[in-house]
Amino acid sequence: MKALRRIWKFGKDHPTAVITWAILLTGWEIAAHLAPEPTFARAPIVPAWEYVFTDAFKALSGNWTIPRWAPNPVSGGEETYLGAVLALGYNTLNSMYRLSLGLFVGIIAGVGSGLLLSYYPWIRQMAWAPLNLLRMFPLLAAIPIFQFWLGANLRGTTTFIAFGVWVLLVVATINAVRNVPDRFIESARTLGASRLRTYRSIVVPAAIPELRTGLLLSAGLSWSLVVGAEYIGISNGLGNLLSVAEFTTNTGRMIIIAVVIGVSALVTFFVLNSIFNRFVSWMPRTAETKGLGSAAGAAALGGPMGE
Amino acid sequence: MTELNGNEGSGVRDVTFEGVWCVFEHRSGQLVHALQDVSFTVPAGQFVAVVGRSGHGKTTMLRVLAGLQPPTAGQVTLGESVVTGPSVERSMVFQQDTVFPWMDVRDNVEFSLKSQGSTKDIRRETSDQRLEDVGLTDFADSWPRELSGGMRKRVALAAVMASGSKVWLMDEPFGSLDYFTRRSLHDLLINLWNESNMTIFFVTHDIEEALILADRVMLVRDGKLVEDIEVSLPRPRDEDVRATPEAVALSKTILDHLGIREDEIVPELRGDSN
Repeated sequence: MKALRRIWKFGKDHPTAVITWAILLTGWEIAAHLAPEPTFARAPIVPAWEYVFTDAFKALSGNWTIPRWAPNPVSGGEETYLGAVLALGYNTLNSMYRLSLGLFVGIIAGVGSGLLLSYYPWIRQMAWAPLNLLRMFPLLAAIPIFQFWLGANLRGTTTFIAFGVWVLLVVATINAVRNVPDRFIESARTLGASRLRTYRSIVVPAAIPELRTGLLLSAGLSWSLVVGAEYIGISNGLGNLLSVAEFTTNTGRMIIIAVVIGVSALVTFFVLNSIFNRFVSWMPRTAETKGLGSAAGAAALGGPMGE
Repeated sequence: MTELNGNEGSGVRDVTFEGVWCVFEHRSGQLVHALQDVSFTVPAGQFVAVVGRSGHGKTTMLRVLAGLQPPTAGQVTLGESVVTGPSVERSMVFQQDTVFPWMDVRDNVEFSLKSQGSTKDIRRETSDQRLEDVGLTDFADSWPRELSGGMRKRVALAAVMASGSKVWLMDEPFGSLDYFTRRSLHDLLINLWNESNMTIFFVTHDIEEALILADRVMLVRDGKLVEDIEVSLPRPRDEDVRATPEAVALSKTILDHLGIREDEIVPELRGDSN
């Protein structure tokens, strides 16, 4: 009841968002009815919502391979909503597990090596060109080589995600350190701080706020990477569900999986942002920092940013 | 003669500039002479105001003394030691806000002592004392973002006081504050100076501020020290003292030396009503 009341309040406060979503969903439904019948696929080109939430959703239960709690349609069982929910939940958790591991290692390695490189100017100068080259490298094209080197398994996938996040964050960290205002460093030096203390107590905390954008970008990037890796060589996870949906040309299923990935990415974004906010509680509450907490929700629901 | 770039010594010593030049190359390739052959000696414990127009070398003079900017030629000494880098002996209060926003007020005040390896008890005792001196005892646990601009300047003063620095370098520290806050900080600064007897270099382009605070006014123009004026007005220098013929004559001398002609000043400010 409380949730319903909140949704109603959101609708009343953000009429534009409600109208935008109504137009998008209705437009999709109209497109579904206008689209021609496919001649080769088993599913419509543009699936109507009633198809997405019934047949397409239930068909996901084919991905529930554990012989408990719900029948398995692959071995002759019935397609059920419970099976579909179980399959989605199980595969989402699998993806989240890989993603969390990779993201955690990537953030620690990226920020850590960025700070280390920034402390030693000559190493930073040496590393700058190769790092920027790596940053330009299309990461999804690196999936096969990672799976070849480390295996199409947890180790290969998490290393791949950690690598992608590392490349993004090491450059972001070096830039953040570079942008620390000189006045803080000079003030610390005239107050008697050594170079190491100035770096540890002044440069690192002063650089942290600028890492927010890099960290939140890495949350989105890591979802692309985990889905990409699972799509190519892993036998479970949301990326794998997507490749099965493509194999069976089931557009409805693709839509459901895309929505689940989007929602999961938003959850990751929120979690990372609230952890980050704990680190920068000292920051002035500008409209920008206040807004970032609700930015993901606003982006998803169409509400204005920065509220 | 020793080199001074650490935390050596703590005695009160004279500051000497000997033929200091500071030349920068602008991006256009043009050479900018920020300081040209500047020489002077300031005895320990003197309050010196460095006055001049913007861009004439006042801040560069302070940065060279702080050890943040090496001179192109000449040398700066503190007592017998040549200045070669920043040191807690010469702490600086900057024009911009330099209170560390990620530390609470007490940690800001204790930062220098922590850097010098003081024990927790000493740090606590000193910060309590300094916060009381600047009237911020009740704000010890506040974040800088919760304070006004004037309060943050007081935190910066308390931090420099706690550092034990004997030479304070103040670069237009109150420039961005309103008149009344500035006046109350002037009184606070004079009280602190009377108690601790440190040497203060106070950069300003406000002649009134210089006359309220300083024993001596150095006028800088085009990177050169053009005049060195002793200010022997009685203290405290309230409005009555600043209205005396002697104070007015000093203001006029300063204006003349800075190359500001009477007719550049609008009649209302000059005291003419027609």
